[in-house]
Amino acid sequence: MAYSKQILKGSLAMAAIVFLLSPTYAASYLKKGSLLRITLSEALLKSSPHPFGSTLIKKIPKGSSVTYLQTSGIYYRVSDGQDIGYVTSKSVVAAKKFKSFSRGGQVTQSDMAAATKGFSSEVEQESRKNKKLRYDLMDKAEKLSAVIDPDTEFREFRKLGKLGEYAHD
Amino acid sequence: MTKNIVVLLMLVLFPVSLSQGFSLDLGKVLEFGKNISKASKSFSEEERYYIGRASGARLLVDHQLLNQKQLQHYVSAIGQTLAMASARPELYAGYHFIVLNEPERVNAYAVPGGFIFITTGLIAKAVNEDELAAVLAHEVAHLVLDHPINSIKKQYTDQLLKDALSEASKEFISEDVLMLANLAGGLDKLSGMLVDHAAQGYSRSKEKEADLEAIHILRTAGYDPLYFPQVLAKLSGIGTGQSGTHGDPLKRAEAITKKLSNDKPLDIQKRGDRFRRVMAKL
Repeated sequence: MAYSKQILKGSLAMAAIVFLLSPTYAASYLKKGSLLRITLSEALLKSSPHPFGSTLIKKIPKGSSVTYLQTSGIYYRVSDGQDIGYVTSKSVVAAKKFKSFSRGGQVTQSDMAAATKGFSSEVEQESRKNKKLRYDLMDKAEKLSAVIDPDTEFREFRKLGKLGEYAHD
Repeated sequence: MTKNIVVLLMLVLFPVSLSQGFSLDLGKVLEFGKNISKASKSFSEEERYYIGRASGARLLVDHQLLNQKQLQHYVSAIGQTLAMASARPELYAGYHFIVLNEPERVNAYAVPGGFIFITTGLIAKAVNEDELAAVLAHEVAHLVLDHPINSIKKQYTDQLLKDALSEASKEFISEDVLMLANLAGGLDKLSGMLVDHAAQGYSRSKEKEADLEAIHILRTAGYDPLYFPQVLAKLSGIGTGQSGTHGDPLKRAEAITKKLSNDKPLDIQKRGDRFRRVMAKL
């Protein structure tokens, strides 16, 4: 019993090593035809790989798949099966196969939670119980500063101030 | 560092375990392995958003929101233009530029998830739109370069490992409620670290990186980067979080001026007009 803590710690350390060295996720590398998944709440599929003056083709929601075609600066040229356009490289990740930890081989909810650190809307709800934090003001701040479509909303601002696509007019 | 700790523990404790004889509860052991593995992975865009919201909720405990639509809209317009010009134009829920009604505080804070807070005290220091853009571009640069997350990642990873190991002596029950509470505690720790870093500034090398990235953003957006060293020189006399406790602002200003030696000054009158109109109400 005197050594029970060390015994458990030793076991945990061994498990950690085994876990870290095990092939937990499928290797991911980017080549034409690779599948990518949208990680933002929605990603903009644009007509050209430029920050300004590009037309919006559509918005692609989180979790959707697109196929990688080529890289152009900070953009990836992709296809969603219907349209071809450009998304920013940071708005996607390589789609990985998830290896289940559960004995039955099925992906369970705890498996999914294990795939991320777990910070989510559910965790925020728990954090909100701490009344010292001003989530009420953060909700207000986010609403006041929200911009749905910065390209369209601030086009006149850019034009008047000779910014963005109007910088060299 | 994390892997070193785990290897060291294994080398020291595993022989002890073997010599005493033990039975493994594989389920518990794997659960802790998962936690340790979690600590070594990057945060997703969605997680950064919730971490940023937690940081904002912490910041707003002793900061006031501005209730003036025109100035808020103006700062948003400049900030969103800069964000579009950056190497990270899109985030999980987009960028948010939030004005704090703090005339006595000269500061700006960038936290993960795209939330950039700027005080009215700092806005009042700008003499034109390009100077204000320079301040905001620097904050956008910190987010583009992932400085907020990178600054606390090592601390957080070590803390997560310590927390996981400290559970070794307790009965670990993988219930949803307990897991949520633990994660909420983790969120609380992270947001605290992030707000501290945002307020105090980053290392010299990170501030220098952000300065260079900001110049690129300003140029791409069409703003005059020549105002950037002016802003830094001005802030050096104040000792603000924007200038940071690391990296002499005057030295940074000199370094940037050298980089901009081939730039020609711009004079866009309409920018000046709208800046004066908005600032008149500040």
